[in-house]
Amino acid sequence: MRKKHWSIIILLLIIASGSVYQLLWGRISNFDTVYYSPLYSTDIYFLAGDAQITQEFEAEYPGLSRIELYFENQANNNSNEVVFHLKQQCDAAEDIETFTVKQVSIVSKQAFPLTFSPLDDSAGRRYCIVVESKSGEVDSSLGVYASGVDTYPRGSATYKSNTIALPNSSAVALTNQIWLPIVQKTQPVVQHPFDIGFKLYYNGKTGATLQTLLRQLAAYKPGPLGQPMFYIFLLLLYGGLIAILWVVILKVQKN
Amino acid sequence: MSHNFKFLALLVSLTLVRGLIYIAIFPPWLAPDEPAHFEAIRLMGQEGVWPTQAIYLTTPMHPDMHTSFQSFQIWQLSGYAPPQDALNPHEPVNNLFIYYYPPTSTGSLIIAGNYPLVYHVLMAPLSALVKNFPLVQQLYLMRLVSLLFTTLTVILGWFFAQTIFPGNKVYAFGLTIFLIFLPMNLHVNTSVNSDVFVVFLVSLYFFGLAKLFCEGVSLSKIGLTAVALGLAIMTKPTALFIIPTTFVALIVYLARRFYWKPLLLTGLLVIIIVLTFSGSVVLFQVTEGGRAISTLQSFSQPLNLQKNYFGPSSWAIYLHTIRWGFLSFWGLFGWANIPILRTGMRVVWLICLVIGFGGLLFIKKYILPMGQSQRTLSSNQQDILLVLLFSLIFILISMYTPIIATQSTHWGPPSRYFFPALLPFSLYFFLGYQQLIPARFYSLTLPIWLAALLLFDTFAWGYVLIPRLYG
Repeated sequence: MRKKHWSIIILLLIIASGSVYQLLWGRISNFDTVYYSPLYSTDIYFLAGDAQITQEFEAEYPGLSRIELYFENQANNNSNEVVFHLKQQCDAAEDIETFTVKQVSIVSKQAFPLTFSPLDDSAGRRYCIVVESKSGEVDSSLGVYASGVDTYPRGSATYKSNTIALPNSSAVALTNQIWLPIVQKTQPVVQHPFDIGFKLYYNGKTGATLQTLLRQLAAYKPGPLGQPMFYIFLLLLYGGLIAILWVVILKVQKN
Repeated sequence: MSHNFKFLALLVSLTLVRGLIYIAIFPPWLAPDEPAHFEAIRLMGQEGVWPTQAIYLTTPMHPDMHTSFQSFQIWQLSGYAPPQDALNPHEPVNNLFIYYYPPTSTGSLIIAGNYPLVYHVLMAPLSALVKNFPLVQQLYLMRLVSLLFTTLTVILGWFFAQTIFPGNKVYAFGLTIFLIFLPMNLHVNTSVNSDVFVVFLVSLYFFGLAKLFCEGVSLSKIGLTAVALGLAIMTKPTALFIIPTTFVALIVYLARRFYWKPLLLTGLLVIIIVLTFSGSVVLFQVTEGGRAISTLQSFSQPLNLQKNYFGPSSWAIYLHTIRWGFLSFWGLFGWANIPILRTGMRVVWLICLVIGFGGLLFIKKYILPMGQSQRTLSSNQQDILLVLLFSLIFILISMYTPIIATQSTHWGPPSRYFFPALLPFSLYFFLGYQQLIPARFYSLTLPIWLAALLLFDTFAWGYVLIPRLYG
């Protein structure tokens, strides 16, 4: 009996110490180096004056409802605004959605979300996101994280650098932010294909989303794996086997 | 058909269906080092050449390789970028595999002389047979062979547990259910990689050991165990831990046979652990690692034991690799390193700690009282369980001494290096879990076990993998 008590005490101690450790020192961000892909952060493109960056993409599912982009924000306390245009094509006159946000609300290196009403017919359609900053000062500018090479096969980015004179344009490199003036001066137009870092989120109708998923699962795959129905068959078979296993296990454990 | 075979048929069917699900979900080339293993097999089977450095520098990769990488968005999913041609940015720098995939993944090139090729030699005839098939189809056919090996491992697991605990199917079900529902096992061991073959061979070795201890010594059993041991070591260095395990098995057998005093047995076991640990550190100091043993290379690098193994940076490396190893065991999928949700990992840590405590309870209760009259397990069961416990210690040594020796995270360790010990681990994990179930709820042991693993696995592929790969 005494031994059992000790076991329970030690068990509780392990759980308690683990929980206290997680509460006080636990940092989920410790795993960031494992998860973090450097692919979309090899380059930064500077937005100030009339500079503009665009990215074409193709929505894979219905219900496109959120786009996340990644920035390096130099703004400390200013009233500059950043304008995002979601268009059907980059040169289209009309916007599907337009967002104007205060630059100070953008947090460096964190996903910045643009949320809008789900576009139910988005599956398979091409879109373009255009980002422009209304910043009039170099030292309050905004950098967009991007790849140095062409990584996204279903669209590419373009960058148009600033053409208007800005106050403080001869500013020296900011502390720990040497890239800003260099980028501004040396990259008027980017010739090589590249992509900015972005993530798409969907909130489509279940039926339409599942249909698209089945098509995606089967795409380019050989033999039965290339048939959407095969995945339904596999799932049903799996469900049946699991049900039998449950029955068997309950019987085995009873005996 | 006996009940035993009906149960086994059910588990085999389940393994095959689940294997197909994982094969179907994971796009080609996304499993760890899959393109590298495939290319080495292709060179041997279809080009009729040995995969040497010189051959990689002169023999073009399959003409459809780049196209299939693009079709399945492998670069985008993996988060890597291939070296691209400056003039034609959508094309690779050239048609040589050595400049296409390996630069993005350190060590991902299977070179004859540096890397054991048993698995690749085994697969080469199949590659020759399917030479005229489309490239992606070739890969999927090879994945099906991996699924076959995984199914054989599950079958071995079933008989392994039945050998140690005859007449009680709860253990056999507990062990095989863990093998079948562990997402990373199904993912890694249904891809084209020598891991799957080494896991099968080491499982065969453990099955042979269990037979030897529980059913008595015979030449056929010794032969089976020895062949599995030799082939496993030649297939991949991750199997090297079974060498000290074999020494422990011999010592435990002799101790029982000749009534050695417990102190002598304990002393010898401690010496083996110390020798294995220090030997493994030295091995990784003077060579590129265990591959030198598997490929019989000479030792070329100078020994350097003057490093500070206990400084703050060393501890940071150890902690990081322990976390990473744990994470990659439960869910860090593919070359893309897709993690299961971060908050979920805390719960898994906690559950594992508790089950680990249950495992300690089991060892204290059933294995340590060797030779005492009130013991519950037979001496044969105690002996094999002791050997299996040491095999787990040795595989942990073999996984972490490279990190200690090199003071870097270069060696990972990814969980697939641990998978050769899946049979003993699954058994101990189940035994540890079983200790936590109060006697009056004993009938719920297997249902809770299955429910937990089923939920975890469904969460992994339904909530994490599919949205990530196809979202």
